[in-house]
Amino acid sequence: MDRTYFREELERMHAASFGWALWCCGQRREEAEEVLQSAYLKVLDGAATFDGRSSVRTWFFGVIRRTAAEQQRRQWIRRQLFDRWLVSEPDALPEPGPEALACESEIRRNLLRAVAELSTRQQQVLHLVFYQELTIEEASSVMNISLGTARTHFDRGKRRLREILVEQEAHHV
Amino acid sequence: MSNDDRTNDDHDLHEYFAAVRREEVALAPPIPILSLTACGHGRRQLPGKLAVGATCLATVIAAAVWLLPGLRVAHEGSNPVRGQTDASITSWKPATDFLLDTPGRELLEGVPDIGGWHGALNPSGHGESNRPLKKRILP
Repeated sequence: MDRTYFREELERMHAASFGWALWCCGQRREEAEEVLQSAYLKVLDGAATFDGRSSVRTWFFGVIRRTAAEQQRRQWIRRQLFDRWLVSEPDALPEPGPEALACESEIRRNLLRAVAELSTRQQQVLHLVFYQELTIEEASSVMNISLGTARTHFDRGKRRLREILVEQEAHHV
Repeated sequence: MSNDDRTNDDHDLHEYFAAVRREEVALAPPIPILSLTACGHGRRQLPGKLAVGATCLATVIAAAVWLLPGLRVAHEGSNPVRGQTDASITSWKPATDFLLDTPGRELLEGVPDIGGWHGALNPSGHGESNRPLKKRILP
């Protein structure tokens, strides 16, 4: 594949990639930026190579998902070590600042609160289908799970999300 | 499965997520590195890593070459006789052998033969031959 075209593709879907990284990192912005940067470096270093079996987007989203998982694993290990040896954790995950919270719209806050109650896979498949507008098959490819499993997570996640949103509305009323 | 598999019932969720997407797209940071580096970035970086590795390796080798003769001289200097080959196992004695020496040990080593007792008393040899006496059983 032409390198220029490849780079342009990555640049074109940068915002969508950031959105996906954000969801892979539990809406922690700094962590998402770091994951996205690492994913770009993987691509540019040749550590992640596009084999042409899927679309560039599906492939790159898979790279982001794996990078986020690696980062979370590293952070978990670091936390375990620091908890054991130094008692206090030096770099706890940053909470969203007041300005970030203020910028959030009501609809976003409600959705994120509802989605947070779903399992990680349910969150991811719903995000890929509704937010990124991928098919369930593409989502299963990004998540590296079978189509049947992706469909199950999609259906259960959707049902549960609706229930939570209805409960939230009832509470507001 | 295509997007059409999602029923119209999902319209509400689509709207929710679309609203969130619009917000997050606006919050996306500028693209960090793609505009700064070409796709050959990694190819330039790999020789850099190799150069660092080669430098480290050369430093280690140079340090080894520098230190090794000094260590060898120090090792040889610790020998009592420089250049002497190691003693064979039959003549070798452990360095801590002196600890086994007990006071009066030399007396035990110097006890004369019982048969040579008389000869030892008369060193001039008058009236006696230098022939060693036979051992006798004392009453």
